[in-house]
Order: sequence, then C-alpha cells, then structure tokens
Amino acid sequence: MSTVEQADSPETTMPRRLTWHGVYTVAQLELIQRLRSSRWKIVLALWFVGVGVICLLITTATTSMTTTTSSNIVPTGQWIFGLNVYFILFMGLLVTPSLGSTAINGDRNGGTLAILQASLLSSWEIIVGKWLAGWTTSLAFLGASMPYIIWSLAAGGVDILDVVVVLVFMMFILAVVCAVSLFWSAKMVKTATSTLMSYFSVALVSFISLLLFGLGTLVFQHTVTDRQMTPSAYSPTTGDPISCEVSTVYTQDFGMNYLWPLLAVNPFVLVADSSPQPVETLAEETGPLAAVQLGVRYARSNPQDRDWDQAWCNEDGTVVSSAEHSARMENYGDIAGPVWPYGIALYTIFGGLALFGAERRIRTPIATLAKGVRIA
Amino acid sequence: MSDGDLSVSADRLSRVFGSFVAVADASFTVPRGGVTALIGPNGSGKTTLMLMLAGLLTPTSGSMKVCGFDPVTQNYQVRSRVGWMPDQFGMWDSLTAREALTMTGATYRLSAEHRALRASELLDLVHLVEFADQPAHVLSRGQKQRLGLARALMHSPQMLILDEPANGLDPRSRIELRGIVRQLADTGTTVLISSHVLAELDEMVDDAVFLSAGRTVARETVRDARLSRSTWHVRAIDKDPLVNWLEEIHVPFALGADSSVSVNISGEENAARFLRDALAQDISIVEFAPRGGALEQTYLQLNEERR
Ligand SMILES: Nc1ncnc2c1ncn2[C@@H]1O[C@H](COP(=O)(O)OP(=O)(O)OP(=O)(O)O)[C@@H](O)[C@H]1O
Ligand SMILES: [Mg+2]
Repeated sequence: MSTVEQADSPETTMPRRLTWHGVYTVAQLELIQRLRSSRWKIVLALWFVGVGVICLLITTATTSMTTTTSSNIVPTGQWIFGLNVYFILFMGLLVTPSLGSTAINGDRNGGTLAILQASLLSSWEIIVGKWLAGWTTSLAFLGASMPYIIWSLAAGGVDILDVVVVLVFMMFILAVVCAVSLFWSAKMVKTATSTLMSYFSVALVSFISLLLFGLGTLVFQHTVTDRQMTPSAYSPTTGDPISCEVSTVYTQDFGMNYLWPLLAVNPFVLVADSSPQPVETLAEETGPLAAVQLGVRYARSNPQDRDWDQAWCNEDGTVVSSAEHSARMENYGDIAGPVWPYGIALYTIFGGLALFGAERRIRTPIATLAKGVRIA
Repeated sequence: MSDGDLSVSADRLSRVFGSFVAVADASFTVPRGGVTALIGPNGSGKTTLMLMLAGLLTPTSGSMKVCGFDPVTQNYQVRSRVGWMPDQFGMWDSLTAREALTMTGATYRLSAEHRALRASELLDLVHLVEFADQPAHVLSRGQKQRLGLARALMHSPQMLILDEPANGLDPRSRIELRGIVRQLADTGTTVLISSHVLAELDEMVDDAVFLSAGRTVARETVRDARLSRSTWHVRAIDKDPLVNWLEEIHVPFALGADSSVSVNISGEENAARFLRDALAQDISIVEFAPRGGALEQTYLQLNEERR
C-alpha cells in the first residue's frame, strides 16, 4: 500500500487548484447550454432593438433640446453619450442578475451539480467557470449595445479615452454583479429566492443607496453656529461693503462628508466618476456624467453654504476687492478627490467575498449541509 | 483479508443531518474486484453512505478507506479512482449523448482524443450509438439511465458506485446492465451497487451488505444465502398425499392458494434429502424450488427482527 501512496503523493495538493482547463470546461458547459436555448437569442435580439430604439430617442431628444433652447454651441455628444451609457448600464444591471442567479442551485435541483462535484474539477474551477460564463454572457449584451455608444461618439465632444474607461468600468461592475448573483445561487436553495436576492443586491447599491444618502442628509442636517467676519457697513454709491465686523453666522451641515461612501458604491456614480478629467476643468464640462462626477466629489468635500456676505471679508476684518469677491464666489471650494477608487475597492471586496462564499458552499467533501439541501 | 484486497473498508461510519442520524455505526468491507450489493429499505442510508464513499460528504465520525485512500483527506485520489452514478441524476439537457460523455471526460482531465475514443466505446457498450447525436432531453428515462452509467465509466474507474442503476430500465436493459456489471467485475473493477430489486441482485452480486436504519446489520455472501435458504415451495399434482405425508413426518408447513405448500427446511442439503424422501413416497411432485431469492429471505428476516 505504501508504494501506491508514495507514487500518488503529488496529487495530494491538487484538489484546491485552479487550472485553465477546468475553468474552461465548466464555462464551456454553461455557455453551450445557454447558446442552445433559442430563448437566449431572442432576448439578445430584443435587447439590440430595444436599446437601439431608446438610444435613438435619447439622441434625437437631446439634439432637438440643445438646438432649440440654447443659442451657444453645447457639445451634444456628451449628453448623448452620458444618457446612452446610463441607459445601457441600467439595462445591464437589469439583465445580469438573472444570468448567474440560478447557476448553482438550478444545477443542484437538476441533479447536474453533484456530477461536477464528483469529477476531478475543483470547487474553485466550478465557481470561476460559472462566473466567467455568466460574465461572458453579460458582456455579450454590452457588446450588442456598442454600436450605440460608438454612434454617440459621432456627435463629437466625447474623448475616446472616456469611452474606453467607462466601458472598462461597466465590464467590471457587471463582473461583480455576476459574482454576487452566483453567491446567492450557491447560498439559497430555491432559484426564486436567489434571483430575488440578486436583484435586491443590485437595487441596494443602485437605488437604495441614493435613498439612504438623501435620508441621511436630512438626519445629519444640523445648524452650525460660528463666529465670522461679515460686512457691517456698505458704500452708499456702489452698495458694496466697506467694513467688516465679527458676528454670529449660522450655516447648514448635511454631514455629506460621512455619507459620501453611499454614493461611492452606486454603479451609476462609479461609472460617472471614472472619467479621467482633470479636476480644474470639471466645472466646465457639461453632460450627465460630468455633472454626477462633479456632484459626488463636491458632496465628499461637504461644503458649508458660502454666504454671499462672507466672501467679502478677510479674517482680519478688511474688505476684499470686488474682483477678488467674484473669484471667491466662483470657486466651488476644494473639490475632493475621486471616489471611484473607494468604489472599486469595495466592489472588489464584495466580488471576492461572493466568490469565496460560493466556493465554500460547494466545496467537497461537505461537512455541514444547509437545511433542505441534498447532494443527490 | 489484507488491506490491499479491499476496495472499501469502513469502520464505524456515521453521518448526522442536524439531529437526524442517517447512518450510524456502519462497518463493512468491500473486496476488490467483485460485485457487492448494498441493501436496505427506503431511508436506511444507502445513498448517504455512497455519498461518503464517493468523497462528497464527510462522515460525522468513523473512518474509511476507498481504493486505499481516505475520501476526506485524500479526496482527489479517491475521486480519480471512483465512478459514481447517483440515484437521481440530471443530464445536461441540450448536450447530445456523445457531448455529455466527452464533457465528462474533460471534467476528468482526459485528453481530447482519449475522450472521443472512450465516448464511442461507451456509447457502444450501453447501446446508445444511434442516439449519440440526439440531445439528452429526447432520451427516454431508461436511455438516460444508461447514459448515466456510461458517464460514470468515462474515466475507467477502479471502483464503481451505482445507486439504484436499474431504476426505470426495461427487463432487457436490466439483463444487459447485469452483463455490463459482471463484465466490469471480471476485468477487475469493484462494483458497489444498491437496488431494491433483490431478485436481480441475486444473479449479479457476490456479496451483500445489509443496512437498516443506518446500521450495517448483516453481511452475507450470496453463496451462504443460498445455502441457508429456509422456505421451500412444493407442489404436487394431487396435494392430499403430500399433506398427509408431511403431517406424518411432523414437518411444519403452510398451505398455499394454488394447492402448493411452503415447507421450512434449513439448508440445501436437507432440501435435497427432503425431495428424495418425497419421491420415494411416490408423491408426484411437479414443482420444488426455494421461495424468494437468496437475498430476499435474509432481507425479510432482517425486517422481522427490526420490528
Ligand atoms: N441532506 C439531508 N438532510 C436531512 N436529512 C437527510 C439528508 N439526506 C438524507 N437524509 C435523511 O437520511 C435518511 C437516509 O437517506 P438516504 O437517502 O441515504 O436513504 P436511502 O437508503 O438511499 O433511501 P432510498 O432507498 O429511498 O433511496 C433519510 O431518512 C433521509 O431523510
Ligand atoms: Mg437512495
């Protein structure tokens, strides 16, 4: 017996390993089955047409809006691009959870999961394979909407680098959504429950986070009392202040410097904030993505309302020139740095934990089975 | 028997689900290269036991060796040597029979040529050649069952664990299954098989492990079972001389409906003597056979004991 064990001892390290062959086999198995169902092709075709129609509407609406309402030239490309990206992201978030949310428990109910578990595939290979298959499918949807994104480029005003970065971010977000859906499908016994939880997870970061942010500002809102220099006398001719004195001022604090992480987990914010614009030019950018990007960074720096009055006075009580005052009023204050690195970090942690949790659920031999689960 | 001659040695295995004890103190061995049956009523823990042997479930306590390896700590080695055909398994519905086999080959890390070769070989073995390119969802239940068997054989395992493989098979397929199993056993594969159709096991197994409420309650070789069969079915053209004679020699018996009688005789030696004596009495016997299969009697006795 000992000789046999000796000869086989290198195998001992193999069960946990992750090989491309194994991952590819699982992904191939998933994708073949998905491709063969004709339903899938219909969904993709509907998607292509549906997204196309909406993008067309967005494009015409923005074009007519900008030409009728403003005389100066506004780059419509940014609006078309931004709205299209948001719509495609929205649709992507709507479709993707269903792609992975039955991958494990559906197979378990169908009696094919145990077959894979009993084979020489490791649990990581099964999980990563299924995850890649789900992601590939969601990328097919993203790919089908590429023509509309490229089309918005034609309207001008959009940097090609922006497009690439936004696409990479969307791919990343969909990958995380796939991982989380896969986790729910491994965790929940019923496919209906796991699908529900996957959609709930997406809703949590996409909409509930915004709601919480809004409610949070109301809860955190409080008046800050401060003693500051304010104008005390005004010039009779210009109406501008001529002297300053100390007085008590009241400003509103919304606590956004604590609440901004709620925005950082939002996929729509994440995509908007990804744009590699220099901070100085942000305020001049138009378009929905730039607006969101500016907004979230602004929120993170938690500005106190800067009073028209205070902008006239220096700390020592002297009055500033009228030109300096205008400059101060235009300055948005210090805009905080990007929030996307935090979002990416959080998403990476979510996704990693999701895959890890899913793997633990199907690791064999199984010590503790969840209630109601039978392997075969 | 030394360890090397055993494909499975299980020592006081138990498995608990929550507070429910599915397998308790199961101890048994399976010799290398034979066919061993795992027999027990519904819910007695056969499937659970097989899951532990196949390396999918850890035992709550106890130890085992499968093909010389511990399924818990040397899972990979066990899985590469064991082929498992579950009780209720699924097929990848949109894959064809051949693809199902080649994909399984891929999950066992076989090379592409080897996969294709082995798939053709096995399709032939289970008589599915004409369905090779049909998607699995058009296959009948029995055809799926045969495909499942082929799938379990894809990596030429040293040991085959079959959980009720005859489920849903027609008589002919059952006979063929029996042939395949015997053939595998004769070429050195160990087969552990569970089934409720005991008559069928009689003709294919060498050995049987009986399980009741999660415990191994008996083990018997089929030869022993045959030798110890105790109820015999006797029918004469005219039943009166037979009944009279039985009363005369004080042999307990039970009258059957079709004018036959059941007699308790322990052992084949005694049965042969009984028949000789009966014929010597000029009783015109037309049927004389053991009642029920070899394993069936043991099985029924066990249940009586349990009640
Ligand atoms: N995952 C599980 N969770 C809880 N109980 C389980 C689980 N799996 C099996 N059981 C219980 O363990 C017992 C043995 O089940 P098992 O499937 O091993 O029986 P079996 O001998 O294969 O029966 P059958 O002949 O009907 O196939 C049953 O009472 C079953 O309810
Ligand atoms: Mg069973």
